[in-house]
Amino acid sequence: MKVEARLEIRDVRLNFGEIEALRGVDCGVPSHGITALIGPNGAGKTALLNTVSGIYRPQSGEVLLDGEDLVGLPPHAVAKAGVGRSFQHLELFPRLTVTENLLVARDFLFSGDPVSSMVFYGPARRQEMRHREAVESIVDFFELWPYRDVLAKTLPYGVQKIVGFARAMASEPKLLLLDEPGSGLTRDEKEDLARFLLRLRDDRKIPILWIEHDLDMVLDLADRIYALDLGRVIASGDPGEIRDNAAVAASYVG
Amino acid sequence: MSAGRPDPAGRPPTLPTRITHRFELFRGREWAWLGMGAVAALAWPLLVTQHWLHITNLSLIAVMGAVGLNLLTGNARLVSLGQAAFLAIGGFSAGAMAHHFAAPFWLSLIVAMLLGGLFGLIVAIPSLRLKALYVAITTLALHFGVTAAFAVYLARVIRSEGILIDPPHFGFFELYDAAPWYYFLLVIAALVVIGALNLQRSHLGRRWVAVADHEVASAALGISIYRAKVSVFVITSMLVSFAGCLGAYYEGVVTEGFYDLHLAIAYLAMIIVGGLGSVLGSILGAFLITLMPYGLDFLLKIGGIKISAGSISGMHSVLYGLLIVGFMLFEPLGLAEIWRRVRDYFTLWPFKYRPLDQLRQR
Repeated sequence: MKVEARLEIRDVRLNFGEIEALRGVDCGVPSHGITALIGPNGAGKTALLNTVSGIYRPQSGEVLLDGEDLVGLPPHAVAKAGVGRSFQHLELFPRLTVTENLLVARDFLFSGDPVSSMVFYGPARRQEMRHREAVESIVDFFELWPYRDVLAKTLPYGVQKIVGFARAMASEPKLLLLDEPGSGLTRDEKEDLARFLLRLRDDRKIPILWIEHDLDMVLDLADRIYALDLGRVIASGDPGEIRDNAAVAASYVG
Repeated sequence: MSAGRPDPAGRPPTLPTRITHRFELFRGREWAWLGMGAVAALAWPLLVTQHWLHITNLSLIAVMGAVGLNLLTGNARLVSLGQAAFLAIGGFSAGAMAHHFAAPFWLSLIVAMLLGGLFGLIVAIPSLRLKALYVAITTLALHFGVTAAFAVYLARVIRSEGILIDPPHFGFFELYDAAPWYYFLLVIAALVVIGALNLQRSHLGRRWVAVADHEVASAALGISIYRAKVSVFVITSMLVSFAGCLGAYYEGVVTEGFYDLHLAIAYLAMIIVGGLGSVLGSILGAFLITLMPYGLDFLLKIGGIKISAGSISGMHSVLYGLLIVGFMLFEPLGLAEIWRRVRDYFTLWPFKYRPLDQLRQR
């Protein structure tokens, strides 16, 4: 494990009553590259992401973002600390447009009292313009031009997934958590997704923790892979090592 | 997503970006329509009788209350049965301030808003863990608590059925006749409407909708659910109490019986019939529901039909029910949606649909 890890997860245990979702998980996301999290259904991948996001509170263990412990912080404080997050099941805001969905991710960067919002002139409007500009760069990056003003509920599925991805990036986070951005996408859409992932890694230098079921895609794109099963890390390493790992093959084949 | 392959160097594709963001509420032809509407509104007292001007005034007060309720129930999806309670808080602030302190009009308005905000906060806290329909129960509790308290206040402190309130003074000018009240309420209602439109498109409005749509997702994106819910309760309660205070000054009297559960349901009917989450819907719904009983009486009168008072109030209830059920079944998006369709039909003709980049609905 390199020292300059952006995110370090140390011995995290999470129980729901009798069920042990995470039984002492250790893993790290370095400040550069794509780190993938793989494993069969119920392995605890999403539980781990939710623990980092502050949605679940682990019974023990540490979650360090740049050395600062996130355990115990409410989800909104974790987001403010610089963790961007996308969701496995579409959790876009259906009554908002794509632009507005992205702006919500920047909500904590807004300031100002309700009265200035009601007047919406001067500082309030300038602030809105500033954030719309920032969101425009995200719209450009994810090639969402035609959908800017379309309500999220009317978007096709594949576009919704990309908007969810884009929304996680909209707050310019220090770390990106992606929960199965590729599930349910067509071949073409997956190629777009791969392109966005690589450009985020190489152009924007954002460290990514990425949950994915498509093993071929993971082996092609990830720099580092953690394989989870039954709440434990059963293997970690670069794609070559994971490909040849007997334990990973066993957990997938069953 | 096929637009714009990256070039071999991996640079972002350079397609021309057409920015369609709008930062003004109205533009172009909308100003012309607004101008015509303003002229018609200014001429209105010259065109109608005192009776209908009075009904217009009641509608304008209802517009302010409905705008507040619609932000809470339409945008933030927190179903409130406490509308009558917040109107009562405004009304009794006016009454109590006038009775005990002979307070000026503006001071009563401020006190009404502060008390409304305080009670909004009180009801927001138990509602934080509740969603949608369950909030209806906590607000219902507030309704009965507040109305019972005011009944006791009237019986023990005032020792009367109601409190009389003198008309507001501005220097030598007294706000008493229907026409000056009309212009005064028109200006205030316009300000409230503009404020609500701005609030909806500000970060606060987006935040309320986001929290209502997906609580966990909004929290993970950095929104404090607590602050979002408390702010929407406090702001809308202040607005509704403000409307309640104006209403009490307009009527010149506050009684406990006026603020019954029927009133709360009438306001819910306004926003359902008008269109949930739409400011225009609040306006249209407030006018329709306020006008409905008077309109029915008017129709019966010109039709020469004589019915006992009891049957008429029964007919009002039936008509309410029919309106709500009818809108739920045939136009759940309300009058605002009908208005949008009619407008689109004329502005887009001979086409049927908007171009993709103008899909945004307002």
